[in-house]
Amino acid sequence: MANETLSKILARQTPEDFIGREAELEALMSPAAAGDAGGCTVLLAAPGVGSSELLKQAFDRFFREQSVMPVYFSIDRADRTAESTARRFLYQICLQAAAFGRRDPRIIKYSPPPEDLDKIARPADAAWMERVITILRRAGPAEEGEYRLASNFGAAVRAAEAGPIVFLIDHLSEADFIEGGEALVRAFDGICGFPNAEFVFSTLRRRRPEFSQYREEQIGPLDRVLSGHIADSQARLAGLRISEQARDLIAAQTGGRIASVISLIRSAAKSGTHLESFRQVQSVYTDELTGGDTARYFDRILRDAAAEPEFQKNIVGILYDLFRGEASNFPAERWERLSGLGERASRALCILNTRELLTVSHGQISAASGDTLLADYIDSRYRLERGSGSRALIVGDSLSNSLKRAPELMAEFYRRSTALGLRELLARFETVEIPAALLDYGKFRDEYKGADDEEVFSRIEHGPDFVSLPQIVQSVYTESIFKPISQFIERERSAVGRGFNGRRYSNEEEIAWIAAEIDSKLEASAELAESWCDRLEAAASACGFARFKIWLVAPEGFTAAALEKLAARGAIGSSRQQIELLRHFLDRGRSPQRNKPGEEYEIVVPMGNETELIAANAVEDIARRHNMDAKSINQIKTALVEACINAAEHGHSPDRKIYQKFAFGDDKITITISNRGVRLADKRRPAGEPSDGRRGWGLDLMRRLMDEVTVEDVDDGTMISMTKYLPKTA
Amino acid sequence: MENAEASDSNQKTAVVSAANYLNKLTGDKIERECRTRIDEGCKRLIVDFSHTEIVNSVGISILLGVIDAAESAGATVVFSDVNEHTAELFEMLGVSRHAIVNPN
Repeated sequence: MANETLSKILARQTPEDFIGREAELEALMSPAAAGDAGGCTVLLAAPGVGSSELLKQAFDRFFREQSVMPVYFSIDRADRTAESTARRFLYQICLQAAAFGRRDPRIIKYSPPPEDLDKIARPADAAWMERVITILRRAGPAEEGEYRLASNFGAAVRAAEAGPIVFLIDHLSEADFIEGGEALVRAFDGICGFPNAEFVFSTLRRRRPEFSQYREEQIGPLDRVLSGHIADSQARLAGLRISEQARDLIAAQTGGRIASVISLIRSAAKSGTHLESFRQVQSVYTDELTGGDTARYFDRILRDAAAEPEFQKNIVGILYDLFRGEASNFPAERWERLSGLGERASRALCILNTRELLTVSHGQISAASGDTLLADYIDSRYRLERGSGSRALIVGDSLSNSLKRAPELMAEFYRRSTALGLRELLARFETVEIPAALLDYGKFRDEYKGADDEEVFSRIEHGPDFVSLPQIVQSVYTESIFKPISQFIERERSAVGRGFNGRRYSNEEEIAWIAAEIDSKLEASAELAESWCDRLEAAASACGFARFKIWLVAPEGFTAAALEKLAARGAIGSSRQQIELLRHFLDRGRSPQRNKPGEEYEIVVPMGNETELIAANAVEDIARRHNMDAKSINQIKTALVEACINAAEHGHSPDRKIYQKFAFGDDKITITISNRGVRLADKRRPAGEPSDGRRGWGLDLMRRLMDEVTVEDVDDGTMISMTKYLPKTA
Repeated sequence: MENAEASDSNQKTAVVSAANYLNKLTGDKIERECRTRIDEGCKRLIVDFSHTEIVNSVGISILLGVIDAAESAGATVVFSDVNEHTAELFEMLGVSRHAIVNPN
C-alpha cells in the first residue's frame, strides 16, 4: 500500500498533526506492543479531549507496524440493543482482520458483506473467522440473552489464537444508552484476560466501568499552549490564516477541549472566515455556541438528561444560576424539585455529572468551574429560550459580550501563561539542603542583586547558609482546597504543598507550605506582604493546617520593611529570579544556561532594498548573545541572506514580506524563512530560457553552510528551515 | 555602503574597491568598472575586499563574469584583503580556481 493511504486509516489527523498526546499514545500502546498482551487498560477521559482520535491513532500505528492486529470498535447508541452492538462488533473484527491480513485499509472503507470476508482473509484467520461469520449469519434477536452475548464474544476473541490482537473499544459509557448495556459491559469484562488479546477501553472519567481487573490511564484537557498549536495546525490544514492572538483566544475559550477547537476551525472554514482578529474569532465562536457543532454537542447531552423541552429549559435555568454564582449552595434535593423531572431527576443528574455539565459532590451541585465554553453556551441558550428580543438580537448581544470580554480573558491567559508554576515546584521539594539565598530575598538582595544568573549560580553554592526543604507529598492549587482565594489570584499562581519536615512522618513534623505569586512592579511593600499573609493564613485556618509556612513570591522581591513583617510572621519572601534559580538548582544542580531551549525570535522584513542585511545583522546580534563562535555566525548570516534572496527572487509574493524565525536550542540554532507566493515546487522556467550555470547556487550554498536544510512547500508559499549545530566558545 | 571605485595610478594595474555588501547591485558596479579598465588596456585588476563583510551568491556569480572578461583580454584578476569567511565562499563556489585570492 502507498504510504499516504496508511498515514490515515481511521484517524482524522496524520501522525504529524496529532499534537500533544505522545505520552498517552505510548502508554496505551506499550502493553500490546511489548508482547505483554492479556491485560486490560481503561482510559478515563474528560469529555471532548480527543480520546477517540487517540484510539484511532493507536489503531493506525498498530496497523502500519503489523506486529499486533488492531481492532477498533466504537459503542454506538444507534445500535439500540446489546445484541445489535455485539453483531456489529463481530463483523468489525472480521472486517478489520481481513484488512490487516491483506495490509489493505481500503477493505475497511468498502466494508464487504460478512459472507465475502473469509474469502478475503489470510489463511491463518480462516478457521476462527468462519465460526464468527456463522454466528453473524444466524438471523433474529438474542433469545438466549446474556449467555449468547458472552458466548459470541468468546468466539470473537479466539481471533487472538492466530496472532496477538489489541481491541480498542471506544465510548464504553455509551452502553448506558443501549438496551442491555450492562450485560454488554459484563461481556466485554468476561473476555478480558484472554491470552494474546489486549483490551483498551475508553470511557468518560466520571463513568468508571465495574471491571474485575484493569490498569488505568487518564487523559485530560490539553494545556493552552498545545490547544493553540492544534488550532494553528487545523487552521493551516483548512487553508485559513490565523494570527497568534486569535489562536490564543481560541485556546483560552475552549479550555483544552480539542473537539471544540476543531469544530470551531471547521466552522470558520465553512464560512470562509480567516481567524486573524478577535472579531473574526468571536463571530465564529458565537455561531458555534448558538447553532454549530458545539451547541449540538451540549444540546444532545441535555436531551439525554431530559427529552422534553420544558424540562431541558428547567435544567438550563439551574445551570445558568450556578454559573452566575446565584446558587452557590445547591443541594441535590433541590434539583429534583426545580428540574421538575420527578423520578427521573436522579438519572438526569447522573448524566449531567458524567458529561461534566455540572459537578455533584457530597450531595451538593456546583457549576463546572472555569469552563468558559460551557458557561457561554448556557448563557446563550438561556437567553435564546427566555429572552424577549429576537434571535438575531440575542446572538448579536452574545457576540458583543464575548468581544468585550476577550481582552480580559486574554489578560488572564497571559498571566497564567507566565505563572511560575508554584504547584509543580512544590511537588519537587524533597528533603534536600539548598542555599538559603535561593529562598530568602533579604540574603539574596545583599549578596547577589544585580549579578546575572550564571554568576549567582556559581557563587551561591559556596554561600555560608543552607536551609532544608520539606518533603512535599501532595501539592495542589490553593483554589482547589480554599475556593475564596480565587477572588484574589489566578488558580495557577497559588499552591499548597503538604508534607513533612525531614523524613519522619509524625504529627510534629507535618507541615503545609502555602505559596502565592503576587503582583508588584517594584519590591513588594510591607502592606502588600501583610495583606497576602492574612489571606493565606485564612486559607490555612479554613483547611485546618496545624503547622504551615507562608511563601510569597514577588517579581522584584520585597522591601526591607516587608521582609521584617514576613519574618515576624514566620513567612518567606522570594523574588522571581530566585525561583528560576531554585528550579535550576533542583534540576540536578545544573547551572542556568543563557540559551534556554525554546527561545525564539521573529522578524518580518519587506523584500528588496537589501533588507536581508537587516535580518543578517539581527541574527548576528542574537547569536552573539548566545555565545556562538564567529565562524558559525558568518555562515549563518550568509545562509540567511541566500534564503532571503531566494524568497524575494522566486516567490511572486503578494505581500512582499519575508517571515523569519530564529529558534535557539541547547546546541543549535534553527532558522525558518518563509514567504507567501509561488511555491518553489510550482516555479517554472519560462520556455526557451536557458539555465544559467552561475546562478541558482543559493540552495547549494545554504546546504554547505548549514548542517540541515529542508525546503517545504506549504499551502501558500515556501518555507526553508536551516539548522546549525554549534560549537560554543568558552 | 561604499561604491566600487577605481584607481588609475598605473595604466597596467587597476584597483577596484568592493562595497561592504557584495550583491547584485554592488557587483554590477564592480563589473562595469572592471570592464572599463580592461577596455582601457589594464592587464592586472585588483579588487579590494578590505571593506567587504558579507557577499552573496549573486555577487559571486558576477565576479566570475569579471574573471571571464579579464581572461578573454589577457588580464589577471586578484581579489585582495578577502576576509576568512568570504575566502571560504570563494573556495566553495570555485572562484579561487580562476583568480588569485589574497586573504587579509
